[in-house]
Amino acid sequence: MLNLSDKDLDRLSREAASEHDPGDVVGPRSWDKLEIRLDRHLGHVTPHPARGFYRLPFYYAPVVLLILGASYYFMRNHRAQKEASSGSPPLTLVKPAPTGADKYSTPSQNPTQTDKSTSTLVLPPATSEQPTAPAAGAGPGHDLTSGGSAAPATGHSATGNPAPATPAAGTPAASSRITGSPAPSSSAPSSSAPSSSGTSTAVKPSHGASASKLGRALARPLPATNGHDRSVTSAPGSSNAAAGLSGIASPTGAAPLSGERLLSLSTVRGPVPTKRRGSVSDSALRAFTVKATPTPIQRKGGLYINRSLQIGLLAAPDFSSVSSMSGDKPGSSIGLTADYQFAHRWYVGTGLLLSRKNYAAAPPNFHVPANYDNLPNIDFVKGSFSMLEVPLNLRYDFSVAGNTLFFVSAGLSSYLLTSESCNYYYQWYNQPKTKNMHYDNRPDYLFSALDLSMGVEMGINNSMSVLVAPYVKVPVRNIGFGQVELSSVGINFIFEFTPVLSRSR
Amino acid sequence: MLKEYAIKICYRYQNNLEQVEEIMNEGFIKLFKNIHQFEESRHSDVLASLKGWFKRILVNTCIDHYRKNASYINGQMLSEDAENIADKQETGIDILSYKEIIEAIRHLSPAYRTVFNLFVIEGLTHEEIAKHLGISVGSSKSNLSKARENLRKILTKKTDQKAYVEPIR
Repeated sequence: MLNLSDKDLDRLSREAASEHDPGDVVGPRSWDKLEIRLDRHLGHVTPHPARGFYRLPFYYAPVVLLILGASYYFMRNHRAQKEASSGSPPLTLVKPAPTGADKYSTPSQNPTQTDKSTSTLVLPPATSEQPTAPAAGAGPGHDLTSGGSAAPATGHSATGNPAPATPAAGTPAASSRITGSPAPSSSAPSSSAPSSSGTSTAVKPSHGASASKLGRALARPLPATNGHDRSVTSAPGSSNAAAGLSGIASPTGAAPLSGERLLSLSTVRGPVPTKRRGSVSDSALRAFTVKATPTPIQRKGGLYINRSLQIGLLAAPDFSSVSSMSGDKPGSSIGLTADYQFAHRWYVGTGLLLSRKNYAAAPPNFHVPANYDNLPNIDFVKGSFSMLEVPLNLRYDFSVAGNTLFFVSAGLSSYLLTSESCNYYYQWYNQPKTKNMHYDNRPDYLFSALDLSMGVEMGINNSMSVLVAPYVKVPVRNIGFGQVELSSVGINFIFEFTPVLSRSR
Repeated sequence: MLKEYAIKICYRYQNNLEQVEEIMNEGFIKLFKNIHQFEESRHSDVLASLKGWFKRILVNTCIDHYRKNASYINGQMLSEDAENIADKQETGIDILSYKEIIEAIRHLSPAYRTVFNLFVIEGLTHEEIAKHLGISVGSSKSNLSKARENLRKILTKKTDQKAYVEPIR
């Protein structure tokens, strides 16, 4: 026998009592039994309608999302229509400064960049060495460059006359100024050959960085909202570049002026040589703009990536009810989803969700089978379904904004019940009694609920996105032992992955 | 959290898991029924105080169950296996785990187990035990003595079995 003293034995027993944890030896269903007993003893047995109040946000979330989405959609459309109704893209007008008013436009400072013509459209040939730069006299002239695209590092002078000072490529001056005589701030000497892009009246886009930038600028679509890409300047004299690009009056005091205009390079689709410089009327400008409306760039041999399939991981709180009587506890859904895009903006989706739905039902809504007389007259029933849920939905993306889109979805959900549990609350000789029944091997209920959902999808990157989608599930047929009409609301949180299915050229 | 805590306490007083669940549920019902008597403001550590209060509820519930069933569980009944234990003077306590000690306590008869738990683990005096269980102080002392003796026998058997299977190196 152990030669432990009483003191040691007591000490060991105390240590064991404090340290040993037997775990959940009574099983998870003990909570259900405890809940029934608590309801019975504490008297909170009747599900009261106020419990539904806490679920109001889940009922109203789709409505709020609908209002937000619709508002955004109409605001966006309204803005687009407003811009479209203006006819021509935003024009940037610069009031011609009085001759000699601009200290940089004096003939003595930049005589080669002046032009007496009031408006020019000067587009250099793609391969020409020298653009058709006007070398007018001492009068005020108009200069034209693409918006910041004409980098001076190419060293190609439109006029052939080296400017006294040229902005270096990539400097703020070079990237922000269109044309004009060199501004004081752009007097950083360039390491390349003397360039005059800051002062040129034409641009040669075929060489170096400036060519590529210009090419991008020319190939870029013309969004109606981007006024920077379609500036038309009218600046007699060597107008300031900033004025020409940004539409802001030149720092020399030039003010916007209607009338003669200068169309920037970025409004045309490609470099088209022209020798004629003249004023462009509004109608002509509109026609030109329409003609210059970009079409989608379709490159031969382009790489097409097929991302038609979306695989998602879904988690959702679920609030079920039977004829507006809510269950005590929220349920849950977790599982996998898959969506396939079969047409532009159209998806068909399905999934496999492990769901638990809790409900409460009044006797009129809980239909005990006629041949089942084992149950006394019940006050109400609290039940729960454990099921595999298979939705089959159709989804449409109705608005896109950046990497965010709104969508609506509708479909049918099938409930494959795995188990069902019912707590019956009844009176027995004026004593409240409770009976718990558990049903296994329940039948499957195909297409039992109409699934309506709308939500927002936010892209994380090319392959991943997050969806938040409130949903409502309207019963189509009765389910369960009590043949209840189970409706549900909740919010789906889905993390989606969009793999690359194929690449083709 | 409170559930594990409740199981931990009830498990020592009962060797029947259904009874463990029953006592635990009763303890919770008493807790919720009388939760209004618990004054949070009087305690600096509310959780620890609540646990202490809950422990008292559970122990009292265990005592109530013992008293309810005392009429037919009177006396100690060690199984033949527990009694047929070789008397060796070796100390194998270092190869005993806490789980085995708790299981040994659970194998005691209800009277011995209850007195042992109340005296050794809960720290009650024999007078208090006698008052709670409705027995005399002498019976309480006697039950405690026999509980220790039987506990040693059970633990010795366990150590012998372990020593046979896993010799001490």
